[in-house]
Amino acid sequence: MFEFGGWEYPDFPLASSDDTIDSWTQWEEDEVIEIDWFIDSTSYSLPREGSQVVEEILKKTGIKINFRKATTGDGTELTTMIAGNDLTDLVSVTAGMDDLVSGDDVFPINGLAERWAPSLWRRITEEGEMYNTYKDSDGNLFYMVNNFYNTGEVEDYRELGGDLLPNDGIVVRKDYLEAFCNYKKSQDASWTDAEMANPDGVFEFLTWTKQEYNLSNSNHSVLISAFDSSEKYGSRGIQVLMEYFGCTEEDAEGNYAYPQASDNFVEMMQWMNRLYNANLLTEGCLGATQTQINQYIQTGEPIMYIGKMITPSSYFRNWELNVSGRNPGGEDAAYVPIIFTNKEGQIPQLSSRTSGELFTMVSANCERPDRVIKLLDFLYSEEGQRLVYYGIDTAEDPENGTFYYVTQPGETVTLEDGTQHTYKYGQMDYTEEVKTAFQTNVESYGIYFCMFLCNPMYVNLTSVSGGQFNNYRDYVKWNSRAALIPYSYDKRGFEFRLDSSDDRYKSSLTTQSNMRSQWYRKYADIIGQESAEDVASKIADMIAWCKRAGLDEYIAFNNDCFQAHKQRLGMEYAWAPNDPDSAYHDLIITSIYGDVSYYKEVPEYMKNVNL
Amino acid sequence: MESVLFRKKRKKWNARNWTVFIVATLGLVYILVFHYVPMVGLLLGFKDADYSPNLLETLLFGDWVGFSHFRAFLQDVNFWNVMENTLIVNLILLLLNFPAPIIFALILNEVKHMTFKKGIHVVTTFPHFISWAIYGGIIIALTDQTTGIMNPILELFGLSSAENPVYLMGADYIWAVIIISSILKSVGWGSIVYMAAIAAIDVELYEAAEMDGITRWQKAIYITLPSIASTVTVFLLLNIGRLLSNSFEQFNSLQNSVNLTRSEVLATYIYNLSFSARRFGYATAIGFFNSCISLILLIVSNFISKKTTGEGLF
Repeated sequence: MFEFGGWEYPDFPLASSDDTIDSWTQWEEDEVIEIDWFIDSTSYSLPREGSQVVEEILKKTGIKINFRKATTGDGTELTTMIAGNDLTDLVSVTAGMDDLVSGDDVFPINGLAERWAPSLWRRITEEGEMYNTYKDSDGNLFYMVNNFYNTGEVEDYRELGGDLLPNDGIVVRKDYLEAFCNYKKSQDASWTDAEMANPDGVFEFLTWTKQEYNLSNSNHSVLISAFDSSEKYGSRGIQVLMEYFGCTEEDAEGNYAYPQASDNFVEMMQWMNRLYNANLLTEGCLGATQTQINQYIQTGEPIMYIGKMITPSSYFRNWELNVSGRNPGGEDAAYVPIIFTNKEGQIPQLSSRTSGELFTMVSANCERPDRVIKLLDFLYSEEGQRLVYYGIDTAEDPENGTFYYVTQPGETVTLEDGTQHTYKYGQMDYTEEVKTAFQTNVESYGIYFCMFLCNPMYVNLTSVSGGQFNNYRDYVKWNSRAALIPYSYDKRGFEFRLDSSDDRYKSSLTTQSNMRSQWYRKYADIIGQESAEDVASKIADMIAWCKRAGLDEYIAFNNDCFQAHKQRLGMEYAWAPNDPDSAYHDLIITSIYGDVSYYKEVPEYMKNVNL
Repeated sequence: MESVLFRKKRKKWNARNWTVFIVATLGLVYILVFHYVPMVGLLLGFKDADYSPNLLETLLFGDWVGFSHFRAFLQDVNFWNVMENTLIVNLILLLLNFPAPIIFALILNEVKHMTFKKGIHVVTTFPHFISWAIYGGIIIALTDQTTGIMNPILELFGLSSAENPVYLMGADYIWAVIIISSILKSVGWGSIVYMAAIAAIDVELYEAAEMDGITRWQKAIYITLPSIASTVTVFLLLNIGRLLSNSFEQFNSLQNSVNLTRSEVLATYIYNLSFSARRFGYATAIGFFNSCISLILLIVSNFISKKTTGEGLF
């Protein structure tokens, strides 16, 4: 344990120091409290008040939670809360954690856990890697993270035949791609689709399709995720393309590098410029809102879509299920992922989010941090994860139960390939009633709604279906990225944060903010240039401007933080191609489609949903 | 005559008429709380408040940075772009959007069919009550290249085609979209005050003019317009004072990455700096700069107006 100087803790009775006793079991039955929990993200659905999961949390922890989430995605509400010293008891944010920490706006998790939830501290330090990944230079941990899992869990998952999905990707309409491949084969019988897995090949496919299917210039033929000033690179689509073209934040020596200053970035922008000048990536495509993009996907307009895959997954599903009435081909015209290299033939490395997305902190305004830390302990524990993902055990409550054990915890089972696997937490399946509810919604159960401390690997290791496969959309989410699995990598090495205790912190933030804002303004302009030379020239001008704005100092400071982060994680290289020992060097592309063996067939009963 | 007016004024504000005092006090309290007290926050423009986790603390105890934020703004790479967009769009709006409700009120005043007149006024006033978030969404939908109705209409006039589609939300056309949508949204509502001013004109003036054989056009030019001149002057001066202010909601709802070089105005720039970049000190300084320029414009235009027409705000 640590010395927790600097914070004043309220004088509530301490929990038992025995860390094998679950902390949330230590509260007075009559002491039900109410707290506010703000989630600074528009992506998450909040659990409905009175749903089974919420009621069970109240029963277990004695805490009634008033969830609130951001109505805008630009951080306005959180900024107002911080500025007005009006933070809620619990705050889950996607960015800006260091500012909250440096402003002493949050309690250290370790300080609270030492006093009131030793079992949480045991879980974090002994069972998990969260502490090592996110502790600060003083050894304090200020946030708990969702979508986080440990290396050991990934290994277990691989034993079961699973693997990590990349976060995002590039998809194209399967019917168009197959038609193009057939055309190429008709021209040259020895042609294979791996030959088109490069920028020129994909460009040829796009122009051929536009011409062959007589798509007009007003058609949104190539779409990228909507531009959003809060995105690191302006749009998730740009970020994905950067990964395809090998633009990275680490140079060959393992130092921090500014990715926009690389030749690969210039090549990527020139490729986008080619698409623009061929009327494939039009101004209408670049200026589309995410709502418009979803609408275009639902009607099958784009030949290719680049970017976020989970956000538009409902619309991919709607297209496949022909909701718009424009897709008689059904699944044959589905959007499928493609993989291709840059012109140097470098195989892409697509990031897989193994680190967090939401960072949950206990605000210094919280009046009952002793109870709130117990709540976090519960939600982080196996019991909490089970509740969030599966609901209530039918063995405990036959009438209202939502799942049952197929394999008991600790039971060893022989898998299809003949290997033995021990299910540490058991294997679970939903009741028929819940399975049916999943086809429309499970709001009244609250399952899959309280995801603010979720560990997605838990469901991968415990579900009879081997993951989250409860409805058609879940399959779309998987299939839109599954074939890219061999090309994904653990990006934890790049998840470093700027050291807010460093003197350079503020000036670095200003430089970062100025440069991001300037790139955001320039992307459309650069893409819309008349020639590739003009694109290169515009980028060179931007880099020159960035240097005047303090790029060199920014790189130096980032590098120091990056090296410290990698050292904490015990890694020399964060970028697989730089690591001579990584499996990257054995990677090959055998098909534009990637590795289709990862595809999963959607069960028939899920296709007959009345949307 | 003057002494009678004076007595009447004193009588109106007599303490016995306590309801008037209460109403007036509420207004004063409102102005004090929501307009004067927040001005204390302007101090942040002179403090090291960027990325501050506690603005109140920074306001009270933060380090002074003098005019460094103001200097930084004048050297900001986006300064000229933002100022150009702000000024040009507002000048065009002043030229087109300001007279539009006056002309509309004059035209509507000539309509004799009362039901039709009221109907038109209700229809044109209605958009004012729709928020820009919704109105902007409607405009985006109408201008959509594949599903909107604007491109087919433009095609009818040979201004767009499937091969050369016009993207109305792009940088080339966004000013036109902003100005036209602004006029459509505000013309009905804006005309109400002028309609009221016209209604207050003594009908005997018109009757006398009719006896002299004046035409309807001459009535509008020589009677109606001069009679509402003071109202027009007041609104003109207020509009000039707002030359650096834009409707944040309007620009924010129509802004996208393609038209940003034409749609970024001071209001959206300050908003993004404050809430996305959290550069509170810098954003406050820009806001203060904006207010100072607006005040100067208002004083100068008021001075010119008083010299030339004898009418003014103060």
